[in-house]
Amino acid sequence: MRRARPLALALAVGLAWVLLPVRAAADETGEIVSIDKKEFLAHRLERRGLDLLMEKEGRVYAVVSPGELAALFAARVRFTRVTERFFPYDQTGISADGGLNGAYHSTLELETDFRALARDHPQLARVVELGTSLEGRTIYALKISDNVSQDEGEPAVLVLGCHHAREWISVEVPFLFGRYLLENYAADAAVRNLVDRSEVWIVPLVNPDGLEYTIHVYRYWRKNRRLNADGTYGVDINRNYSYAWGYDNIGSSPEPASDVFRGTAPFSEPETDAVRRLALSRDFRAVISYHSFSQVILYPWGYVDAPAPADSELHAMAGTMAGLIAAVRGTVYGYGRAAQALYVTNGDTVDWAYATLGIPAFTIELPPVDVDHGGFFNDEAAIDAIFRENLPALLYLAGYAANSPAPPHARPRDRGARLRLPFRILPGGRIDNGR
Amino acid sequence: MPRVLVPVAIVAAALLLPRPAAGQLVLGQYEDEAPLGTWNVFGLPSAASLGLGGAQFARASDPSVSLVNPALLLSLPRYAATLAGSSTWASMFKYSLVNTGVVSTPGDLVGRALGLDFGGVSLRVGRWAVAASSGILEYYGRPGIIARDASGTDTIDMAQTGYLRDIHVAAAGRIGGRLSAGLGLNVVTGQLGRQVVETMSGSTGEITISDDKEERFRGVYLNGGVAWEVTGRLTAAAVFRTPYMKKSRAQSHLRYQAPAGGTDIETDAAAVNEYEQPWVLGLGAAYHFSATWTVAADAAFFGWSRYSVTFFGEPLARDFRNVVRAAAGAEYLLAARVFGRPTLIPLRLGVSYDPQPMRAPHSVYFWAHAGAGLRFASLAVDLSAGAGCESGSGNGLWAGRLAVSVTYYWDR
Repeated sequence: MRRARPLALALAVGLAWVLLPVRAAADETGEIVSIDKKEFLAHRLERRGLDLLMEKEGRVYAVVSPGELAALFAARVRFTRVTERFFPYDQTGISADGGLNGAYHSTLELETDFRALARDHPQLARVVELGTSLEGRTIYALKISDNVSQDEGEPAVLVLGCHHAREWISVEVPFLFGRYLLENYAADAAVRNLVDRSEVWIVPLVNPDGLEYTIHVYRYWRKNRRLNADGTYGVDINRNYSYAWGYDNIGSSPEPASDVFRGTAPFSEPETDAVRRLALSRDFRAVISYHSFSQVILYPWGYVDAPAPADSELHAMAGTMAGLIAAVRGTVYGYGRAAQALYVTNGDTVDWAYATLGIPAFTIELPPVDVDHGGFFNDEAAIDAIFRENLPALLYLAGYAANSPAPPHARPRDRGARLRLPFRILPGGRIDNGR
Repeated sequence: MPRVLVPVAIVAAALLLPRPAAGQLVLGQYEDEAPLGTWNVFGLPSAASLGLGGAQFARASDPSVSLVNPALLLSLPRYAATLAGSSTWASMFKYSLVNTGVVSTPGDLVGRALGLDFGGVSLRVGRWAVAASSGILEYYGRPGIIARDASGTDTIDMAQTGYLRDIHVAAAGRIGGRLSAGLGLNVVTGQLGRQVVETMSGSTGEITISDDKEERFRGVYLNGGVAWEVTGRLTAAAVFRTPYMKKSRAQSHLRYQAPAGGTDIETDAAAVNEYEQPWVLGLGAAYHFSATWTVAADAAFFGWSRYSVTFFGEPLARDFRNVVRAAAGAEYLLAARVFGRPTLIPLRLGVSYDPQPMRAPHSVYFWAHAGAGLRFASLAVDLSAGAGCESGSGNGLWAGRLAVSVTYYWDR
């Protein structure tokens, strides 16, 4: 029997090699992973029905869906995601390249690229104006769904970026996710399934005024551009959401000059109000808010170091996403309750989304890991790699949103004490939503 | 020195020397490309015209008048050569990263510019006159900032310098007995550099973030005017400057260095920036009450509403409005003997109203000027001082200027 396993593997790989042209195979599914041949055999992966591509230099290459990717991680299989080796990501056509901030988007460049995506994919993408910033810039969203112009009431996922102006990479990951979905819709069955069954809302630039200030005046600016009563500038719009707003003066500050000034009232800023109105207007089932830096995935609570009602489920989901990210090229993202894993924050996006909408909400702090490796800077050449390593986690959470039932209508007022999420995380990161 | 070499030396100095001197001048609430002192730059008033509040559309004191109304070259002596310098002080509150959210100051900052900023010559032959000059029209410097946090380990160092130089040639002719017209060609060059360097403590070593932007300007425009001697006492004038595109070759270099982590991240950009400069149209008049009393007044329209900036490929928001700057002054000639020689001593007073083009804040400078001079047979020395206070920004800005010019002329 032992002799039969390598033979079966060889036959399977050989057959796949002949019958499944690499491009066609990957086009129709999700990701390509490589697994050490010994690891492959040890875990009896040939029995899992993976789409095998080839065997080369002691490694087995297979095409896997996001669910299979999660399962590989759950089974503690060591694999490497190598999709980009087969399909080098096409950087052309992004208008951001060449501006004052290099390959990163400015507000105008983002609008230009959003409109180009909507023009090129009129059935799938629509640019939505969520509101206007203090300095008069439009806050844009890109809605992605089949029959995008219709309101089909589908479950939705919200992907946010750039609450904090200096976190340029947090614009790029949401933007590239939207672009990925649109450009792979026709050829990738998993993407098509996701887009057909749900709405994906991309808001890469919540704080356009702040971003422009970082480009033109001071690179490390964080807040928006509110002129405060005392003559200082800026409200930290990730401290301006209503849930636990101003809970203490540690997780935010009442001082206008502070980098974490929470504003004069919840949703006092047009930027947060724009997100609030969007979030309450659709049937969102999950939220990701991208930030940088630290390489950590955070979930509620942020305002207090205490477990949220569904802490274990959130922990498992965050762990799954961290695993999916690590599997791509080995980048380690930590994960944990925000107040514990990073620092205390009150009035932030994910606490509000979790408590108010009753849906899983995550902050993902993108690379680098610390200031010695770039702080709020990322090399332009690293943008695509950072997006690529986050893509499986994004697909995972978007897939969760597409498949999860509507959340209960509970709107807890007391720290979400009675909140109960409508899903359960099984060992290995699988979702049990009762279906 | 042989007398004939004096004008040669002045001409050489006039054409070669003008350049910005070390020092900084600060104004206030304006964008990086804002000229220090005022947005409304048209020509370069010398000390004599500054004493009249800057009024010079219809009254000439020296070859600097060619930058606004070359027609008045015909009213100058046959040969004239001028060297001028100025020192300007001004206060400002918000600029770049100062008092806009990063570095806060308890009050206005004050800067100073000191420069030999004009040299020019003119020659009149019969019904014709020509002129050539070089001058610094605009300064872009800002007060340097070195800010430290409480621990003294993290610092922000900001500096901005820059200028716009005008190389000018002009010709004028008498059209009729009382009417003259002139046209000037201006080639402007210059630069603007801005550097912000921040150092901070990393977990294992120092981190440096530097942001350098450098622009080199170039542009061409025409200016011209007519002067009409309405009567023997009254001269009226109309002047213009064409709109033009002030272009710059611009480079940007953003860098993050953390040697402890082996991190060196650079973002470079290059572009041709464009600053669409506005039309200027002006009217002026000068009236001689007597041999000793003269008054002059100007009004200049600046078409700022169409001002636009394209910066590294993107339009920058500049919500500007058209403005009219006005100036008026009076001169009294006092006859005296200085060094035993008969000398005229002009005494001047002037005021000007200088609204700035941005819609918010609605900022206006009110200036008061005074000046005096010594006018010998072939040499004139003029000195003027002005003080301006600003209204509208809420920051109580002020500005001051001291100008001196030396003009050598002869009329044989």
